[in-house]
Amino acid sequence: MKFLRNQLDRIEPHFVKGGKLERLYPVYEAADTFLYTPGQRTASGPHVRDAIDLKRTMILVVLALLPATLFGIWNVGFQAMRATIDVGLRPGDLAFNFSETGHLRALWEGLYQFGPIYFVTVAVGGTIEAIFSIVRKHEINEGFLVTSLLFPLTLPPDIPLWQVAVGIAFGVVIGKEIFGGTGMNILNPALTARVFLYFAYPQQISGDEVWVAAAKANWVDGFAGATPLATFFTDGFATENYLYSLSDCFLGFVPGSIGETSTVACLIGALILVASKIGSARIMLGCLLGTAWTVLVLNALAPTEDHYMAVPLHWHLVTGSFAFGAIFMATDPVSAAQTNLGRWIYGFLIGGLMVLVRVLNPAYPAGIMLAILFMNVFAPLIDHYVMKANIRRREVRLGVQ
Amino acid sequence: MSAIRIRRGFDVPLHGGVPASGSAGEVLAPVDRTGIQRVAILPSIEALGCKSKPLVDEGAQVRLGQPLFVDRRDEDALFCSPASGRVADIQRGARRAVLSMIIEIEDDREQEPFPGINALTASAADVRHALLRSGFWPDLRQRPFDTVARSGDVPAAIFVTAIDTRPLAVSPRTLIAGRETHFRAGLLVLQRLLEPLGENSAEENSGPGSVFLCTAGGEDWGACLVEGIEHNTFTGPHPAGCVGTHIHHLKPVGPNRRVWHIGAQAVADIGQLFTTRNHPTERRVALVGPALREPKVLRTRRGASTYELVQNEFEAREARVIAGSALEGATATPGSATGFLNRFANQLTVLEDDTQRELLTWMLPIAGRHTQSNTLLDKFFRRTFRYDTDTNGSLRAIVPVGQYESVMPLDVLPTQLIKALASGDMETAEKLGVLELCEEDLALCEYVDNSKQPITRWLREMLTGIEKES
Repeated sequence: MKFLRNQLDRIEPHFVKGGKLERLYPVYEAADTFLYTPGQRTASGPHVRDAIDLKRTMILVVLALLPATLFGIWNVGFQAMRATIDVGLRPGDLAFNFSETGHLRALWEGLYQFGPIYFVTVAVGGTIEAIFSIVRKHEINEGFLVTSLLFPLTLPPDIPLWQVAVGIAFGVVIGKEIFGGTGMNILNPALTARVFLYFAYPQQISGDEVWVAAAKANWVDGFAGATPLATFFTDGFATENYLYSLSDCFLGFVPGSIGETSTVACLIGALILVASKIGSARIMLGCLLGTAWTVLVLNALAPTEDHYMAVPLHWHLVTGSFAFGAIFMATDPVSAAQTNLGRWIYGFLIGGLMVLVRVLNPAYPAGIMLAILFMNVFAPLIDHYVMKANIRRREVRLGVQ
Repeated sequence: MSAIRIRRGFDVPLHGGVPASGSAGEVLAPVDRTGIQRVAILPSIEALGCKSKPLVDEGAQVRLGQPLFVDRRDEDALFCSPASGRVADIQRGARRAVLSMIIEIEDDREQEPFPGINALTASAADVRHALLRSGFWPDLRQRPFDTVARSGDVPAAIFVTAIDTRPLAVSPRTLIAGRETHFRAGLLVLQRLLEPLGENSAEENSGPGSVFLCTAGGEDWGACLVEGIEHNTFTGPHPAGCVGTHIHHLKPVGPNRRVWHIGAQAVADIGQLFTTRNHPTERRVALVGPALREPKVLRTRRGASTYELVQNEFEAREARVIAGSALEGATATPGSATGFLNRFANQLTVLEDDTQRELLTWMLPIAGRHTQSNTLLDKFFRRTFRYDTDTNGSLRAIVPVGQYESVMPLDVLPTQLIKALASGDMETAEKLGVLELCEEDLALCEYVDNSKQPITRWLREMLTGIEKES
């Protein structure tokens, strides 16, 4: 490995101030510190430092996303099989081989869909990040590692690649870079990208047909591409009429955006985030409480049993992107509230707002991303009032007031 | 007496502490290192923001306790020589600020006379005057700002910090063992400083304040107590032992309220001075750190040169010697201008200073390092770590994942305060309680920061700015 280090040290003079490629320093720095620890020494102050840095923080979020990603890839293939081979196919029926109904085949089909989406996201978004870093003369930030994985997971599997490119470009530029880059953004960049696509190309990104990777012409009889959320609207409290069972929704064997169908996979991610102290349990629990409270109120107010308002809580929790949004999107530390009390309030309002969007405005079945974006905007306001309370306590202690 | 329990905070698991007892279970006596040749006073570290005016020239003969310099901002408080000998060197830094005045020790028998006054019966003004002339006044620091206490002030309280939770610290109870009588005498002197000086200062405070003695829970301080002081115990992780934590819980400060604080050894020094009328020269420090061969407690002189103290104590090719703990101490490179014990240091920490560039560690679950978050698994099978001075990451924008809040026991919003410091927003920072803090209170925030921002440097810049404006 000495050789690699020597090569990096040999080309370094070209990138530092005065070198020929001075402007490309952020690119060199990214590659250099990707491979090796920076090895900088503390100047003064705390002479020793914690081993965590932004690289490790972000790679942990990626790690937490892996279960959802892997399951999502498999499920894309599995749903395509259900659509084209047999509607009644169960995960247990799949063999561990590459045959037409094998797990490996499902993974392969999923990868065939997901791979290009991910690649386009990284290529387009990464290039924009690098250009901004070079122009602004700061180092390339690791935050994009997470954004570039979050965004594809929120997309339907058969989205056109050009939309992926347009979406991530919008998300990175408008959601992040115009505010000054990672750490300064007000909105979650991955969500901004997703919502942009949602409103710009509603035809391609909503409805019953986009959630399965196979073209509709090949669908077998009896297969409906509708997501579980869509079935709430028609059947309300009559859960026996739903297209999918509660356990399928919980485990994720349903059509939907690539990474969001499995509540279980998201919960594994939540466990990793909370145990490693990277994700905020306050926000996640706040979302849960907000959802529960609002659903219970709506249930009580539901006019008829088959009304959307009567859909019970446990169904709300396992369908749509609730788990994915509450665990991975709402907890983005930069766009969320940044006080401990504020995090509870922020989470609670996201949960409540999500249910309101889902139930009272069925034109947008996916409420969570709108709720999160809306609360992203309000997070500074929540923090402002938490700060005011703190300031007042201090004044009272000092006898000023 | 009240017992206060601190919940949030963090003890840095640094390797190289002083063992509680010897290999045979015997109590370890401090190792004698009083035969020191060079000592110094360090105006830039011991009196923050000092505009020093030297009173002696290079080469002059000085006596123990003879004034060496004063701060132009408050010329009543004298900074005096910790030994008698010859002024070997006056080291200056940027803008000719005096970094250190180095004394070559010759003979300690000669010393500046101390007036024979009884700390209990003399007038408060006389006690204060004697202390100001003695050279021990600068051991008193004031909050806000952590600068030397102003000679004309009457504080709302005086905090005696007799607990130390910094990494590898030795309990102050051990450090003042055998000096209990002097410690008690020192507390009595401190009580006299709280008496009003004239009518103006009496108005400023509602009734005289009290002396707060803050110790660790579970230690026997019975022999060190005097009537009229408030004894409080603190337990929990660092910063339970930081005076900022004590002040916040017992007598919070702000723009309209000042308190003073002082360390336990300095209290014993003052007591010794008033009872024996001899200038004390001894200082006990713990010599600790992962780079050391054998950590131990030393009995040495005030202001001793670190060169003489750490010689032959470690093998590291490059080591950083710190007067104080690894969190908030000042670099005291042996042989340099500031390579001396400062008057606040109760320990000398030695760390490896030769950082390595390691391949792809950011994705390894085990890296031989410790993190307060649970992103590395090392901490589950090792108890102490051989830290070096690596920042373990490069500078990034602040990404607040709750790391600051997890180590902040005060009712202060750390993320918001740090952002106010970063943007130089004086008004917001003051409202959020910056005046209650100094470097050691935010040192843990900087330690756990994943974006490696210079938080404590910002804090000092902010405090200097506020002080100038007021």
